[in-house]
Amino acid sequence: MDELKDKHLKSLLKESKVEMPFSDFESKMISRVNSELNGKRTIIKNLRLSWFFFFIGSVFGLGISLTLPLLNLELGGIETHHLKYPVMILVLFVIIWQLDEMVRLTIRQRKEKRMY
Amino acid sequence: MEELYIKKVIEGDEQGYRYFIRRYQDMAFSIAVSVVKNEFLAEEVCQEAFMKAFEKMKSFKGQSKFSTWFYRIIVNIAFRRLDKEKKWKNESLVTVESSVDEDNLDALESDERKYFINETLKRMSPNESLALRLFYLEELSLKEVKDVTGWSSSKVKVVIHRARKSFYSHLNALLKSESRLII
Repeated sequence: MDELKDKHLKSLLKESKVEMPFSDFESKMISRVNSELNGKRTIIKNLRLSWFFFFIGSVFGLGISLTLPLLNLELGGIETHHLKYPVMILVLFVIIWQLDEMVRLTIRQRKEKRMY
Repeated sequence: MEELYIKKVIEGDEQGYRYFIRRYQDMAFSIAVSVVKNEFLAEEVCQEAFMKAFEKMKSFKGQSKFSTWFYRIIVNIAFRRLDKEKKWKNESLVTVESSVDEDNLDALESDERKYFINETLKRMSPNESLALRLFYLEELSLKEVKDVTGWSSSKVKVVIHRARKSFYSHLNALLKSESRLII
C-alpha cells in the first residue's frame, strides 16, 4: 500500500481534473428524465383506462348476450333467441382473448416497475 | 443529505435529479473519458449512466457510498461502450519509468501542464487511466476501487502500480517529443 502512495502523482492528477465540457448537459438530462417519467405515467394511465373499458365492454357484451333472447325481435330474418348461442360464444371468445392480453400487459408493466 | 435526494428521485421529484446531475456530472465525465478517451463518447456514457442510476435508484440500499455505486455504473457502461466501439487496448507498450522529469514539467504553465497530463492519460490504456483517476484523483481506497471495477485485490494493486510507471513514461515521452518540436 505504501509503495502506491505518490503525493507527486496525486498533485499532478489534481491539476488535470476535467469538467463536463458540455454546458447543456444538465438541461439535456432533465428533459430526458422528464420524458421518461411522463412516458411511464402515460403507460400506467393507459393501462388503467384499458381495464376500465375492458370491464365496461365485458358487462355490456354479457348483458347483450343474456337479454337478446328475451327480446322478441327479428334481425335479418332470424329470430333473436336463435342468436343466443352464437352471440354468447362470440362475446366469451372476445372476453377471454382480451383478458389474456390485459393480464400479460399488466404483468409486464409490473415487472418493469419492479426492475426500476 | 443524499438520502433525502435519493428519496426525492424515487418519488419522481425533478429537484432530486438536478441535485445528482450537478454534483456528479464532472466526476462522471472524468471517469468516462479516462476509459473511452473521447469527449463525445464520454458524454453519451454519462447520459446513459445517469439514466440507469435514476431508474435503479430504488435498488440502492445504502450498503456502500452512493458515489461508489454510481462509479460502478459509469465504469460498466464505459467499458461496454468501449467494447462496442472496438477500441479496447489493454496494455500500453512504453519503457518503464518511475518518475517524471520535473524540470521540464515545472517550466510549463498551469494550462500546459493540464494539457500534457490529460494527453498522457488519453495515451494510457483504459484500465490504467481509470485506476489512476479512481485511486489518486477521486481518492478511493483499494477496496473501493475493487468494488467499482470488479477486479480482484491483487489486480487492483498491480494495475495501479503499473499505471504509475506507465503514466511517468508516457508523460516523459510526451514532454521530450514536445521539447524536440520546439527546438
